[in-house]
Amino acid sequence: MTTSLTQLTIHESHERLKTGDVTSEELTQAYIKRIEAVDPQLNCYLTRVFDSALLQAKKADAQLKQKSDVTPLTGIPLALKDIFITKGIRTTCASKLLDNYIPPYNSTVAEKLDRSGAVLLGKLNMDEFAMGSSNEHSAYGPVKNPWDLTRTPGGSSGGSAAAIAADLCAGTFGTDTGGSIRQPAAMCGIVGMKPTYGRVSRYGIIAFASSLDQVGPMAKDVMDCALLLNAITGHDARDATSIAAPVPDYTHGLQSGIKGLTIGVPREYFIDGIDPQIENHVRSAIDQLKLLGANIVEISLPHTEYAVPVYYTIAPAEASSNLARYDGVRYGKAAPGAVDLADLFKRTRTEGFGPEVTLRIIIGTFVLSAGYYDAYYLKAQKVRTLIKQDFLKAFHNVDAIVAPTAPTAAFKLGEKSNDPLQMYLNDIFTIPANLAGLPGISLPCGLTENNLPIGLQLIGKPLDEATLLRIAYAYEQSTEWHTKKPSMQKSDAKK
Amino acid sequence: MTTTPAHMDDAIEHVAELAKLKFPDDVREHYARKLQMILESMKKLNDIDVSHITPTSHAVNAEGSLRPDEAKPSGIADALLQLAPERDGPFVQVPKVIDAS
Repeated sequence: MTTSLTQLTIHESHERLKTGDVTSEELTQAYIKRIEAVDPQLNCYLTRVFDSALLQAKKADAQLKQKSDVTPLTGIPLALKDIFITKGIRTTCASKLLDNYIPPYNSTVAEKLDRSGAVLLGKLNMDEFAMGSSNEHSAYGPVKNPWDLTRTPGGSSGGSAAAIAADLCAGTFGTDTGGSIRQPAAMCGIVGMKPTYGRVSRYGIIAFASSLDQVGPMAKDVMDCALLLNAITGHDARDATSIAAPVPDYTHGLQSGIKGLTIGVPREYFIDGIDPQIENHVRSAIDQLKLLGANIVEISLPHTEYAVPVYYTIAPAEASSNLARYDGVRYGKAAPGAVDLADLFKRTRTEGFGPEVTLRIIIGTFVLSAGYYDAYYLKAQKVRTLIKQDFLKAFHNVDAIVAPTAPTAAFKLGEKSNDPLQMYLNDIFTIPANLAGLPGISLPCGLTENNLPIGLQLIGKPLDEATLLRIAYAYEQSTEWHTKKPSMQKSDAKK
Repeated sequence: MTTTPAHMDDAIEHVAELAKLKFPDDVREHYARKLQMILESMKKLNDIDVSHITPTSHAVNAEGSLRPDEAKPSGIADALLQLAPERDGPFVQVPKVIDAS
């Protein structure tokens, strides 16, 4: 079977581009054709910028020909979650409020991509303002999971995960506030990494919960994930929380194996409510890590059960503050017919925000309001301390932690959309790493009986993305799960 | 943590005012029910004694890297102004602020 151009990984495309076996223009055209043919079924792209993509591809081809300023991303067709500010390209954050917003500046990530010579195909669908775990909360309609078109791709970076799984771009960057990279990566059978909080600049990403938001790569395999991380990591003076720490080349050491590493299995991540198929596949993956030479030890993260209520206090609190800026005055849409300024604010916000964003603003405003601050917000911040301490204690004895990424595989569209608590519980295994600011990665480790992908999660020490990538690479190369491709079919199966 | 239904209705009214939102009665009730359900689930946090725990507001302890407070031209002032839904020359325009009636 011949592999089509859009099925190639970034590193495979790079090799072909370097030898002149294929041009960036040909590669870009192949993606454009595929997006036009397939995306109407999936709804991944909110904005397509094919004309500028082809210009970027021509420029990249010239660089490749002259062998000047060639990076591993030169000429590679990528896309961005529509939360990244992109100069001159519509940036909606999947909200009606920003339907007409064309930013006059670039996010640091967009700027770095541009500098790397990558080709930008367009902007990808997501839950509005990144609030959701299913991509059903987009003002532009849900994204379908390419493995089963009746199911969600997860969220909030659902458009990004589905686009990679369906070969609609070679790689993307998402954002992860409570699991928004790792959970959709698991549900679409791709690799997604949330780096340490502060590792990647947040300048120019539309803010959701500022103490939790982090940018990360989403890719077809672990090598691509490392290459994408290399392109965006590093200190940025424009983000006050950006960490000034040395940045390694994340592709180095990938092949060093995992002999002698100690990996912890937290007993609190194998709980009632986890789908037995997920548990079985994750336990098989743990056996595989053992076969590869890792020491596997059981650990305890005793405050895991409190992570969901802590997150759903802190994240909405920060969101309610961050989203105060959408008032119809300076940018975005303004509701017509306002009689005075207060009326303009209320009409614009009430008409502009979707129901999930409105609910989170309500929760956040409530927990921060006089009389409730101590009982809810302050208490959640204190329990956050305990969750963080659990991890720090565990990391005295282990090099990394292994767990499921999500308790279930991809669920049906509409299955959880009327019950926020059920939806929020889907983030139970991803939220703790955000609360503690730790790096985490999800990679494919199996398929359910219904042919739905299962994600294996690795959580690491602060700034130790390299060890996570090393473990992920060793596992990936010893199995075939990353080579499985989605069927793009509808399933009649109920479960 | 009193969250009776009547109390919740008042709470939503108050929160809506603080958050600059405005709901018809049926929508307000919808959000009151959801908020109550979520606040109930948060009561789980009462299981633990956190009286002696220091709160965490940020995951990473690193001090923010502040830069000198120096004015620099953005170069995009005009472009930013063009984004305002209503403007008058170099000003952003808004409806009246003071009720003259």
